[in-house]
Amino acid sequence: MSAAAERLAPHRDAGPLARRGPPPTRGVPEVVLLAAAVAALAGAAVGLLLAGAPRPEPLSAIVLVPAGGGYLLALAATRGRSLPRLDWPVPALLRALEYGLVLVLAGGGPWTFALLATLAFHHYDIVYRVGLQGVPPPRWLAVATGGWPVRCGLLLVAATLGATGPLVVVLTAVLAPILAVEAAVTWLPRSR
Amino acid sequence: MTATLLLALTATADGQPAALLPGPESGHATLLADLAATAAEHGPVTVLTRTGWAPAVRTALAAHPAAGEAAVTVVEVADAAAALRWWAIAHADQPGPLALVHAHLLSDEVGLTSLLDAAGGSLVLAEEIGAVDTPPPGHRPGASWLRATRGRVVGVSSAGHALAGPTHRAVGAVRLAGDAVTAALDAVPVLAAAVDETVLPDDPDLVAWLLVAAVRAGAVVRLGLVPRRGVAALVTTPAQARELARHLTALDLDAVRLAETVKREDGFFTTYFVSSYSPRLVRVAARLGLSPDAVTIISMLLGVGAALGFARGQGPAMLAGALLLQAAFTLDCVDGQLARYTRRFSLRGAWLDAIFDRGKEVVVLAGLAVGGVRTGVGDPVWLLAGAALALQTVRHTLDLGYQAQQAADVDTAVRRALLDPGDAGPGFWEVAPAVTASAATVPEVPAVPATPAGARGLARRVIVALRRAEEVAVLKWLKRIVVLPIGERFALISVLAVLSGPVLVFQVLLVWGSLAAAYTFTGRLVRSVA
Repeated sequence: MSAAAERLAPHRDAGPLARRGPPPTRGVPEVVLLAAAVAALAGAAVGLLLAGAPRPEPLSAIVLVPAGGGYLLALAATRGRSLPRLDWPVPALLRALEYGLVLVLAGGGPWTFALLATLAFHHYDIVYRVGLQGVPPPRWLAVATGGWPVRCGLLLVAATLGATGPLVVVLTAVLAPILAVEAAVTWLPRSR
Repeated sequence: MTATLLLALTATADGQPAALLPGPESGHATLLADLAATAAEHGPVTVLTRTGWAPAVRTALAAHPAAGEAAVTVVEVADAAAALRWWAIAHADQPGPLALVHAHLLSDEVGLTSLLDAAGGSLVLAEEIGAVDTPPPGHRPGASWLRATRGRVVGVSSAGHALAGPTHRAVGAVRLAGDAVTAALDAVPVLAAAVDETVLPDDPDLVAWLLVAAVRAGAVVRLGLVPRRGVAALVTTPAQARELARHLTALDLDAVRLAETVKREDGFFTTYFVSSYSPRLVRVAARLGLSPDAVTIISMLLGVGAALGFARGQGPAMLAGALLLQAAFTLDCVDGQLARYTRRFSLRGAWLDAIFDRGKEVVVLAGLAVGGVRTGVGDPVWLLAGAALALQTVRHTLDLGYQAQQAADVDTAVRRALLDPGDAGPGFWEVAPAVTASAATVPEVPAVPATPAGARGLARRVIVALRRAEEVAVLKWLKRIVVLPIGERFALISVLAVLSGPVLVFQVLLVWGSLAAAYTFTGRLVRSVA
């Protein structure tokens, strides 16, 4: 693994799918697959615009197919090859994919914003832990929060069932307390 | 606690120890005694000096009321190899951080404290030399040249090591901690043997040798710049000593300390509309006994207040929200400055500052969305707010990723064989290593001039032109404003919220943010692939 890929590994937030061991040395590059995944998601957003207002519920195939395709491309990327000079866009592409998926599938409303704020807190917390303490968050937290593969997968399943609204509430209600309590226990003791 | 090693090795023109020149306090105190007094407050002090100089050094130390002879150990060394070997044995017992300071340094307390204070990693006191038009003089013992990237030292000159593309001049004081100490200890046998075999010149300047060792082993050594309004220079003549001492006496140390709390590289809005007056608030906060964390929390509460104002969606509440947001942002700068001013650093403080920074932006976006809904825009305004939040987080992640990539690149690039006299820097000028074996005579070695020819010459000229363009203030600030840093973002939110309303705020944040992301992404992509 290149030095940059190693530094950026915790920021992938892949949860149980986190790669262990060396990455493959051949095949399609991870960064290319992720860029394609984000492009597919942009296609889903266009599909949503074409569907017009009000949002169809459940979402039509013109949105779900490109969104699901993007998700599958991103899953494939977790086993993709690293391009040593282009490791740096990987975490940002993963963020764009997950947040974009939330926005496209869940639509407007305060709970969508709350879920995005919770995810952003989680991701910034990884940044600050690595930056300030020099260690990534504990493995149990990475698994308990699901990583993007689990969260995005759930969102897609809920979207096909027309149940994104409830899922967004449940995800926020489950993730926010875990993250807040764990961060407080980690950071607030006076000895820090 | 930091142990200090003072190097009283350099001679004046008439062969006397430069460290015994008059210090800043009065005619009878010496530079050495003054430094020893300051350093002794932070840990054990040892003075390394040349054969035959110890009696004079001991007398000077004893003459100074603050530093008795008992507190300070004096050691004589015959040559560079002896100095290195002595240090390795002496320091092996106390593997903590070490300050290495040339004893003919005249420096204000602010610069010295950053080296001696327990907080922080490895640091070298240095001053910027700007874009180099003429070749710098060759390496001189006691004053290494440095090349730094983003505040990290990536190349060092010594009496035996050349340096290409210098960016800074070391002022003769280094703090080594953690892996830098380990690297320096590991390097001693090799360096000392090289001096014995005359592969390296016999220059007892431990500062340069150990700095080269630490940097070339990949240890992170950061620049500690000489305070902006402060004084730090190596002194070799009585006239210089008097002149600098006069300057130092005239200094308002509190003002120097306060000026140092302002970050050197910051956004345009922050620099000109906040940091221009925030140091006054820092002083007030310090007098009130507020902790940096308390200021952080007050700032967050003001941010929540701003969000509540914006949540009205229209009318005078928006103005109140805008003013509260600006107050919150000002305190956001004050907390870090207060931490630097009072030297109260903590991981918790850094985390609180960072997470509340983000938290403020999130609550303000949420407040604006509530305001939008209240004024009849409907639920889709939450989509705009969510997109603005998502975009900002993605942009931060792009920065994070690129910085990690650069740090990884630097990590590989700095590593270099200890005895390799060359340097692979991207520079046009090269600092030649000193050829003389003696530090007693301070030679001005002519530098190796660059030989620009053909395509390489053209490339160098382009790089020089680009560096000059960086110096044009307008361009520098434009480049920083375009990427919409936090100060500009908050100012934009405040102004547009009052003038128009939540929807325009979100639209401008999204369009400007997307363009900024595209601009930085493209630039970095080109640099990565080229």
